[in-house]
Amino acid sequence: MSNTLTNVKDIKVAQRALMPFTANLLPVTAFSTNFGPQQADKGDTVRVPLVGAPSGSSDFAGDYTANADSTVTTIPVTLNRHKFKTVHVTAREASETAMDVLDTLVETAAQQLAQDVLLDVMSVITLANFGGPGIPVLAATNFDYKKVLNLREACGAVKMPASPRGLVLDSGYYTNLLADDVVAKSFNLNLSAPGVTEALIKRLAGFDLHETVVIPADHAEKLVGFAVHPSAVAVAMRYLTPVAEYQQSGAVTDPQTGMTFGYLRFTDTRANKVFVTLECLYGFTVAKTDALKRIVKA
Amino acid sequence: MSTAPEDLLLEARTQVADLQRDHQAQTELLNEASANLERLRGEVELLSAEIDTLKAERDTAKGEAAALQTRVTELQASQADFDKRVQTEVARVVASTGTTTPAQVTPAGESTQAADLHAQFAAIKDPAEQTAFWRNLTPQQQAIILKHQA
Repeated sequence: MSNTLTNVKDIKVAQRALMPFTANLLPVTAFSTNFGPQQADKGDTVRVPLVGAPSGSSDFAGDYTANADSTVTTIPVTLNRHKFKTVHVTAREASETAMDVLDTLVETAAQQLAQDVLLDVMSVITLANFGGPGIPVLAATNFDYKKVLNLREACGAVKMPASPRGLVLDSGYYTNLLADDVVAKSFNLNLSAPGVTEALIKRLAGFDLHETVVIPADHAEKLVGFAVHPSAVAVAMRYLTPVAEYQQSGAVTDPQTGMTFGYLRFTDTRANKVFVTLECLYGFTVAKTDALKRIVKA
Repeated sequence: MSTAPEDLLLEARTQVADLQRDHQAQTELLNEASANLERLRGEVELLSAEIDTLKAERDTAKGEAAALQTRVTELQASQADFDKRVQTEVARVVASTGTTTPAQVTPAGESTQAADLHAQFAAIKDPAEQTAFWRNLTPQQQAIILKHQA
């Protein structure tokens, strides 16, 4: 069974929804991932390659093949999570507005689905899994460039590989960082210009930065962000093979990241309603516990 | 019995008077006819002048029509030459790009392109490739495919 959509109208709707889905899930790319549109069932296992430091170099002793490091470390991840969002449009809704109702609804659903998946993945970022915070607890107003350097210091202390590193921050902490003179008044226009105009900091102190709004204000462990090396968490995502026959069904995949959601369209002819379901089959697991430093608030 | 000379004279005078009256009437009719003749002569002269004018205008129009016909012939020849030069230039450009397929242009201007795009789309079996293909389309091309499918 093909896993691609064939109806161009559905492709248009799905592609519009893919943008917010990818954008909201972007912080997940700070982890080790294996995303793709291959068909899978819930409970299947996907091997996720762990991005980590290679083993040490060898002194030459007459043979270049000694201590060859060709085996990629992988970690099995079970696809045991399945979230979906369904939206529908009635004939009346479609006729009473000039805008493309379905496009807008599906776009919003994709955004919500991505945020729910991200929050679910971040549920592994706990004291039990990754230990105490990288820096002392602090309020958003106290988070600045110096604290980012402190985090860098904490990462270095546990020999976390210097690259790649990500820094995922709750919106309040990210915003306060934007106000730091190091960012806002930087002579480096690559840093200050997007920061001031777009509220965007791409890289700082060796971290790829991501802003997120999904961490709840009443998080049980007061989590507000984390510094991470990809080897901390492994995440897998696949296209769930539909069991039933749908009018349209297929995987929608971002070619850069491999992020995928399933798109299903079906109709209730009695109620004259069109339904579209977006679903995401994924799984995640903790890999290296010293590859993530949490940031918590008081 | 013979008529008296006085009666004869009276009868002669009456006849003379009648003849004079008839003459007078004939003279007046003749004068009137002469006047009509003069007026008609004048009209004939005017009409003759108008005829001459119209003939002159006709000859001018004939000349202009001939000139315009010549111009039309020249323009038609020029258009044919332009078409030929465009075809030659298009052929040169196409040859310079190494393209062997003729340009996909239809009277509707888009149906062939839509069919091609739709066929390319249908041939994609990988969702990631499908996304990449869709993102590379311009909004106009996306609209064309949607219209083609509809």
